[in-house]
Amino acid sequence: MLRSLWNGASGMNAQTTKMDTIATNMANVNTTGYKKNQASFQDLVYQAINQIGNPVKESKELGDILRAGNGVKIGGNSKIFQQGLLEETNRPLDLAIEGKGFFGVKLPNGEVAYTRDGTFNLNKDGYLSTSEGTVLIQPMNKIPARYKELSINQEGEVRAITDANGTGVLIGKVQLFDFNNTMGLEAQGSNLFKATEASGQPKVYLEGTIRQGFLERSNVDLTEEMTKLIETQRAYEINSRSIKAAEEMWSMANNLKR
Amino acid sequence: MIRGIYTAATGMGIQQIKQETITNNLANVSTTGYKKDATVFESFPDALLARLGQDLGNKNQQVVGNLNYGALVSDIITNYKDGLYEDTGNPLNLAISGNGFFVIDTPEGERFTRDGNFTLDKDGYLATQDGYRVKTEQGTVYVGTRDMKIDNQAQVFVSDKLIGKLSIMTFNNSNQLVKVGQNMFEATPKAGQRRADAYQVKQNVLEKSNINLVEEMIELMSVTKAYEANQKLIQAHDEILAKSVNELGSVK
Repeated sequence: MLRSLWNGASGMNAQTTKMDTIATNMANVNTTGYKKNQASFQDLVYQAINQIGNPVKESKELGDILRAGNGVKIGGNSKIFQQGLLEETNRPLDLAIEGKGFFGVKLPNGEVAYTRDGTFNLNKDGYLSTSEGTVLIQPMNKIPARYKELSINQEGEVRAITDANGTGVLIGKVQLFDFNNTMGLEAQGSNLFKATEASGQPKVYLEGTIRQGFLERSNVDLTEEMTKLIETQRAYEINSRSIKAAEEMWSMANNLKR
Repeated sequence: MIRGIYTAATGMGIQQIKQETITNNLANVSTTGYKKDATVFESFPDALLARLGQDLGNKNQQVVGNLNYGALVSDIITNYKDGLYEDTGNPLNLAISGNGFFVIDTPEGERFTRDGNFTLDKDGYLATQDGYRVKTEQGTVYVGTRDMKIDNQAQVFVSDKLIGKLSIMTFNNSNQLVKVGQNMFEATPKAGQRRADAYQVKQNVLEKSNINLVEEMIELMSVTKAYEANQKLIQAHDEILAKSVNELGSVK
């Protein structure tokens, strides 16, 4: 009976965690550059049940020993790096990546982080920075104050249009980075990711496409999330039925001797 | 009476084991590639009943019939039917349709799975979520990028170049496969492993569990009722025993 109770409990716990994932995704349906989470499940170890006392057929062959499972656990919570839709904003410092790659930013404490959120501004020192105002894109040169307009082409080359001549002066290049295993990146909040041992070292990615005047929307699909929500809720309910059935049987066993 | 109590107790015991199997199935309703288990019962071998009261030494005891001592669990069978398939849009999510398992290289040896929720490990090799590499016919495969394509015969292409073929195995005696947790199976010596040929690999798709919820709920209900019936039997035997002890044997 204990095993049935805990199987049901493990099912409910796992579905609760999946519900949290779905709720996070739905909350971030409008976050620029957000990548949705996907929870996955795994079954737990199986134990042989042919101990003395259980009415189970004896067998010596490894393949014939009967085993009972112990429920389920969350096996992983991965980020899905599918491309989000590009939304035109016509703001010259809004950049979106079409395809693979991440912008590199340097945090005030010196660490490097990566992001798909291309909402950039010029901070007071003249560097391109994110909306927080304190983080800077790396590597980039400082943009001299007298330049009024910036033009950024698909390869990330930043040209400043001065008043004097129509063609731009090449100031620098917005570098894109990619990883062996993007799913190993660690989300930091504020749309930032950090490289980990699982993701591998960042490599400079030269085949990226940057679009000026666009932002990448979150890749959350509300229809999909709603369907998963319903599925999770009902799976939670059915596991609560497991617990109820186990409880009923246990109370029958308790009432054997009146 | 005592014999009756033990018989009914085996009835309760087997229903409890069946319930454990059902609740494990229900807990794994959302587990990728999970294959449902079913419990099979068998009755104890029949024993011959002979009439009491024969003269001692008389070899020809009169047999009055057979009696059965209860039931036991003879097998827990895994059903390897395909589950439903779900599109995820993740190029590293693979699913097999038909007879076949992915082969995973773990520190404890080769394991088999239907869970195709793969990722790349830190060196760029195709691996499971736990970091175990997926085996190909040539060993393991370095992919290095999410932009890989897999055709329905498990051939892996990166930038339109064939870089390997995933090893897909099947078994002659799949009832000799053992579940070891983490969505993996282990092959025991009598399983009869061989290369699979009747399968298709799908990309961007994950296989859901093959549990039929209505079936499991009905089984759960019938288990509870069978358990209750056996409980009542034990109580009835208990009353009969009480009568024989308290009323028949009372000294007044």
